[in-house]
Amino acid sequence: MQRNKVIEVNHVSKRLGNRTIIDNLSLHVNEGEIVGFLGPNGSGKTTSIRMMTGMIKPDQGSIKIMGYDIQAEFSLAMKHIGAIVEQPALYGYLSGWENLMQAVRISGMQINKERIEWCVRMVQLQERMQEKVQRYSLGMKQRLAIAQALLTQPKMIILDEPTNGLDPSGIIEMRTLIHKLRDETGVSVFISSHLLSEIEQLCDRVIVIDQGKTLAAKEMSSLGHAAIALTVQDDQLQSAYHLLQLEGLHPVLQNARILIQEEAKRIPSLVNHLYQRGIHVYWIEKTKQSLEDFFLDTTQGKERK
Amino acid sequence: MHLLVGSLHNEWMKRKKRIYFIVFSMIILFLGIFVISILNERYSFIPSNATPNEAADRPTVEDKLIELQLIYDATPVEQIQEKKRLKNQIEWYSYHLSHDIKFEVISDTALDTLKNSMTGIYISFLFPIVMIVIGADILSSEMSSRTIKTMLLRPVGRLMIFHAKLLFVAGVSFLLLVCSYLLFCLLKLNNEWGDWTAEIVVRFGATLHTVPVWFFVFIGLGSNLISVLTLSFVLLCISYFFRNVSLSVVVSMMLVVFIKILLNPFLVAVPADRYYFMYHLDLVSHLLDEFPGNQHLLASLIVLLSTIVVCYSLVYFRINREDLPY
Ligand SMILES: Nc1ncnc2c1ncn2[C@@H]1O[C@H](COP(=O)(O)OP(=O)(O)O)[C@@H](O)[C@H]1O
Ligand SMILES: [Mg+2]
Repeated sequence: MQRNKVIEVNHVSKRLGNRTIIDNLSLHVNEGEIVGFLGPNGSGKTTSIRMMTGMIKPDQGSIKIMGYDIQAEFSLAMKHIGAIVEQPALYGYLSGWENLMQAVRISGMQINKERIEWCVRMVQLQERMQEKVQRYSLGMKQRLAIAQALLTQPKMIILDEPTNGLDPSGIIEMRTLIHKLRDETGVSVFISSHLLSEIEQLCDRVIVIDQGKTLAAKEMSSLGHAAIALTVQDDQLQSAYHLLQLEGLHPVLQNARILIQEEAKRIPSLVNHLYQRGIHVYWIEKTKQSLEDFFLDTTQGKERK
Repeated sequence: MHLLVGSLHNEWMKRKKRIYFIVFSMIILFLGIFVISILNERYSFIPSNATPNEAADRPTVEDKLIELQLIYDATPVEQIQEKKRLKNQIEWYSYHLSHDIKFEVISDTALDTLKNSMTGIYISFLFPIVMIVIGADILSSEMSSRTIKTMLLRPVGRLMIFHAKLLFVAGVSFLLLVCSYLLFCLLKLNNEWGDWTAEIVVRFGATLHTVPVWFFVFIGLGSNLISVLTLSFVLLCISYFFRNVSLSVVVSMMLVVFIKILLNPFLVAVPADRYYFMYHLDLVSHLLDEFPGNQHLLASLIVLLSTIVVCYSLVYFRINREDLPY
């Protein structure tokens, strides 16, 4: 099924201060999709997002939001997205509510009170709206900024490292919020991060960027399931490998371990089977042969070149 | 249009505390002056019946004319400027005589106060300082704290943000200016109000005209509006190019307040005062023949308008090309 593209970035390059920060970057986000934008610090995530929100101009290439060019049709394009770029910039000396109203008044459309209150409930700030923002914690500021981004019922929200600086419970809250948002409103989410662990559980698809280039884009479902690693004595490695093959599995040798794809409930009998043949299993681990490896593979592979 | 109203509303919400503070200090200041003037009157050592009512003590227009004529004759021919100025004044007073217009060298009604406060040091020096307080940091503060992002991420467009801030500074300043005039008038309320339809003489170009006071006040407010607008453009332009709050305020102070002190030593060599807007803010003085330079009203207007054009084009051609926030 061909879904509509909410944002389309085509062959964009950008030089800042004599360095090519973004080099021929192309990506897109489909409707209703949560896309992770993954890259180490300084890889150009924020710079890409600043271009996608029209704050800076690409030197080459084009960026289209719902078919509108971000440079030529700025107002039309920006009506469809809500964004937080780097840290949320709020007026500390104004109340939370007034900060929202600031955004409402220049959103270019009628936004009724119910809508604003819905956004507030969504980020669970009902009780703190009359307080000045300078007394908010970072997590609350982030959530208020998300409420601000949601006001216009955008097709997509762009979040630049929304969990940066949050404590673990704040990170979990943020993740739940993003999931809830997508499920209740069908909004696309484009979320950048340098932390794999967060993106992994959240996204339908990830795009990895390093040194301004997209290295890979991958559907989460296409990543391998978690594998199970068995550690045996080194001299028994080969015989264990053959035994597992005879059991109809496809074991993989990795360092001093054997990786297998197997359901958890069959593990005990499998270990027992090996034991009866005189092969002792010392450790059983669940590996994360998932995004982490994928991420490390791609970014490090890049660096070695 | 909708967006402009919204942006203006936003600016108001962001700055209203500061504006309230300015209004409050103004009221306190004027109350202070009012109280002092009352105390002064009550405890004055000069017998109160001696000063005001006796018309004989006041110089009349005839006296003034004779005096001026004497000075004029005594001035050497080489001092062309001075001669010209005196000649203008003589013309001014004789116009009053020949057209039978009441003229008092010292007058004290509320309307006279209004008339006088629209010209002179208030509009050309003191009020610009108030305007710096209102808006010298209006763009720079948002750039340095990066709150400008909240606006950049909305579909308003950068030029609209600039226009809204400009309108806000100009509008609020003008309102405050008018309010301060009203306060000046209130100070004189224990004197009489004055006659709206009385005639006064104004110079327009080479000729003198008589106009009613209400018309003069109207024109005066219009001229003040032009001055306020010019200052707003200058302040906004500075605030845009100097992205640091203290820097933009200091630069504004330099260009607006201290420039006269800085330029004065050089004025002999370079006639900078002819082209610099701060020397031309007091448009009303042209009408009253009190303008310190020897230029016409039109020249002053051109200086102010070109200042506006220069400031606006500087911002206009930069703002949409720039990577913000840098
Ligand atoms: N205005 C700028 N001038 C020069 N270099 C910049 C500028 N902004 C960012 N950079 C550089 O671009 C690179 C990418 O930055 P950024 O997009 O912020 O990375 P990320 O958000 O992925 O951590 C960094 O190396 C940074 O030093
Ligand atoms: Mg970043």
